Amino acid sequence: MVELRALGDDALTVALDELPASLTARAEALRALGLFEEVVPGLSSLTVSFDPLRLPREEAMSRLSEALSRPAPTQGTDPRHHRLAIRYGGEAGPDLEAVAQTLRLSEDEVVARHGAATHKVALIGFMPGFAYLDGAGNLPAARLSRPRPRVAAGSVGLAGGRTGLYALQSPGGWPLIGRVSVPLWGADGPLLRAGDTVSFEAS
Amino acid sequence: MIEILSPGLQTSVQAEPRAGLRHQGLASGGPADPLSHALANALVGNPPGAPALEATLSGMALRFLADTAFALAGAPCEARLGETAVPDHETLQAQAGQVLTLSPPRLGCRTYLAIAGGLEGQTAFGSRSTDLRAGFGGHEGRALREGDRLATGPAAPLEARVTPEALRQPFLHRWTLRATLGPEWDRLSPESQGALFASGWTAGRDSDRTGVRLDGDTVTLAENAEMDSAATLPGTVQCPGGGAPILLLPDCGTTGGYPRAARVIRADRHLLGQIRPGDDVRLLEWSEEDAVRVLDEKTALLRGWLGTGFALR
Repeated sequence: MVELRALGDDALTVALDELPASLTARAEALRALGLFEEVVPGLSSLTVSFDPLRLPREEAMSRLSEALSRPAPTQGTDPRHHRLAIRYGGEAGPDLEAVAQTLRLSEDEVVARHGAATHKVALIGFMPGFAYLDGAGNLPAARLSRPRPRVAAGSVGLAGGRTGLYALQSPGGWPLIGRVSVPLWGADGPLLRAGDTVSFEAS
Repeated sequence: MIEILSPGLQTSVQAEPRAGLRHQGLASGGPADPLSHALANALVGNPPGAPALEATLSGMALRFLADTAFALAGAPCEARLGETAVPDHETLQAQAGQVLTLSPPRLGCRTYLAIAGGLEGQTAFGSRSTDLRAGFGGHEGRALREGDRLATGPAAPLEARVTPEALRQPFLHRWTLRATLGPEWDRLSPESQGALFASGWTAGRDSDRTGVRLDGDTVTLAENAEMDSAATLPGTVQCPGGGAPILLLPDCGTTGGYPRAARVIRADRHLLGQIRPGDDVRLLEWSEEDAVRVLDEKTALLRGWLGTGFALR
């Protein structure tokens, strides 16, 4: 029995201790019901919103409970592995040197550690297509004290043991260690989905 | 077509919000006060979500380059067409070459200028609203600048209308927002739980389309455990431990790691866009059931004037 909590009169949230790929699959299945305005996974939760004048709250709750009582769907949601060509440092990664210094490593060491890891997409959120990747736990860099007003699309940031990928140009507070060339955003939205894995290949 | 002479602090094209894309990190956007936006549009025969200008806090000035019907709603400000004072909440007619000047409003935060036929603007991810943070949609994804020219859509002849008094929002320096308890309400200390709905808060200086900071008592959490990032929605009251609560507005990010202590009810969210830095803000605890009742009543009242295509969200 899942515990639904209200987030206002027109949204419900539920804590779910499931892997990102599973949360993504559940979210897709919920969206396919055509009942909810938004279906947004968190790191360990799902939130749905709806118009309570069209979908009464009681019905929203029962439909959501019912969907969540079933095991997470697996169909059509196989996580994909992405190998992304990346340029580390220089103009593409202007903070690599500073990050290396704060971690007391050489730049080559930072690049080696980051490149050797298999990163997992934990969450797409905060900004359009922005992806939070787990897997850089051995590189606990800190966020910039002053965010940049403009970060190029494809920029790769590193903070708190996570990699952040900027799909679109935007302001950004993560120190930048490199940039990927493949577009992270296309006609169908973000390239990456929660649950996918990523490896970076220095070019 | 219109030409911007003086853009003011932040004037942007806003339209129907982006829908159903928050899971991709796309903010909902749209007008910060969608009710005033819709009222302005209704006066010029536009559908509620038609692109219109949202002017923030300061004045602005523009020139009409063609004969145009237009209307104003939202934060009340002195408006002049040429030398003549013009009222808000009425269909107005401008002739080619005339200059419209809006003075800074003394109450409220955002004034909407709708033009018959709507403003043309770039559609991005299903909406013509400007996403100022991400830089797309509306007019080149940015706030307007001096010299910008914006085309307007074709307009059918229309009869002059006046917004009924009952639908006009009163503007004061204080706002009372009904809000329900949020999923992480329990994370607040008992003192902060008490204070959230009992205190008078002051809207912070650096409030913008992403949120209004509530200055006053600092929030303390019952426990300091970090929370996993979870979905946020406009109207959410985020409570960072050791900091000020933040009322999220339509341009807020889609996820956050701060406790979601409360959420402004759907029927009251249009008020958020009118909270001005320095205004007094109070939160009134409300139940979800009562919130839906209020939404039902308010929507029925507004649809009588705005049509069935209008919805509060």
